[in-house]
Amino acid sequence: MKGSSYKFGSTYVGSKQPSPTEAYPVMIGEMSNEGNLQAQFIHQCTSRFKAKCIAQTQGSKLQSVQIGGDVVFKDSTISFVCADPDLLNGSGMLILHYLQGITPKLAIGSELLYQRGAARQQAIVTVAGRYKTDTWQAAGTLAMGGIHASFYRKANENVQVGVELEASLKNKESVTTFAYQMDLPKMNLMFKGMLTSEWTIGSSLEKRLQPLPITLNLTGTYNIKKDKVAVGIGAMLG
Amino acid sequence: MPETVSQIEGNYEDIEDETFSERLWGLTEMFPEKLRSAASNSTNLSSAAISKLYSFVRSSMWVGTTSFMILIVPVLFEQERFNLEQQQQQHQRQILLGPNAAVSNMQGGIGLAPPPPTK
Repeated sequence: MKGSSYKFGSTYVGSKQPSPTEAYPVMIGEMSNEGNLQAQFIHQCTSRFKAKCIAQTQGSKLQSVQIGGDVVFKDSTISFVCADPDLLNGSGMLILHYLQGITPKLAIGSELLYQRGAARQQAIVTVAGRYKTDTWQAAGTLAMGGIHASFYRKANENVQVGVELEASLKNKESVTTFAYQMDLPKMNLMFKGMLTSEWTIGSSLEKRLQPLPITLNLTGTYNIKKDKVAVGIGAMLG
Repeated sequence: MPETVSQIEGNYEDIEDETFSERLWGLTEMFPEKLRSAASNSTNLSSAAISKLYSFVRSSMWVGTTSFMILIVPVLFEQERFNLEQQQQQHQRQILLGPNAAVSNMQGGIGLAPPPPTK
């Protein structure tokens, strides 16, 4: 059994509100009982540019720093993230994304991941596409080391289903997952189910216990091949 | 004679008598080779098929039952409970306000004047 750990988190949300659902700047901090801190800072500097900075420390030493930003144009987005930059040794990782909308339904993008270590450098290019309609959405990613494809459909107002395939050429393995979600507000119930090609089934039941403001969450996962069961129970106040 | 009759009979006693099943097995030698091999192959095949079918049915029943219980049963439970609650509510309303209230929605609710008669 794993040792228990506690986490203390705090969130600060600023007063600048470009839309009713977002507010900037946002600062999120999370501290674990072993003294590891994770801090995030997100700010919308202008209407086009959003800056993001994430830092992680282990004890008193800085473990990793990520600085990034998003630039939004009329129908395209460029985002970049620079992880662990070390100018003295010339090492670090740079991730560059470019997403372009071609028609209102179709969007294509590409990603460049450039990593430079002590003696080696490596670049990986990935292309991605997404086709979206009112009821369904399909997306795919093609990289040098694997592919990832997904399909999502909203069957009716209560039921949503999705299928996902992830295949990796390096590890020579592929996993297919089928999942569905049933939203029944008149019964205060949300049920999610999942089935994978590695003979794993799982489900989660969330029920709001009226009139108390408590949501009860029951989950169960079963690996049929290895005969392993995991169950969980949780409660959310508010 | 080099051996007496009793010695010859003694030699024969060293050889054991055939058991009952050995005698039965010996009877099969009257059938032709093809028929014997066909019969043995078919019995082996059918016994292997039956044991495989049995283990397949067992494991598929286990997989089906656990998947059904984990993925579908909670929703059915909740739906049944909801329907039962609705029925109980309707029953209570029927008892409290009379049989008409449960069947049709009252216009305006309780406490107001009844709707004017339609001509």
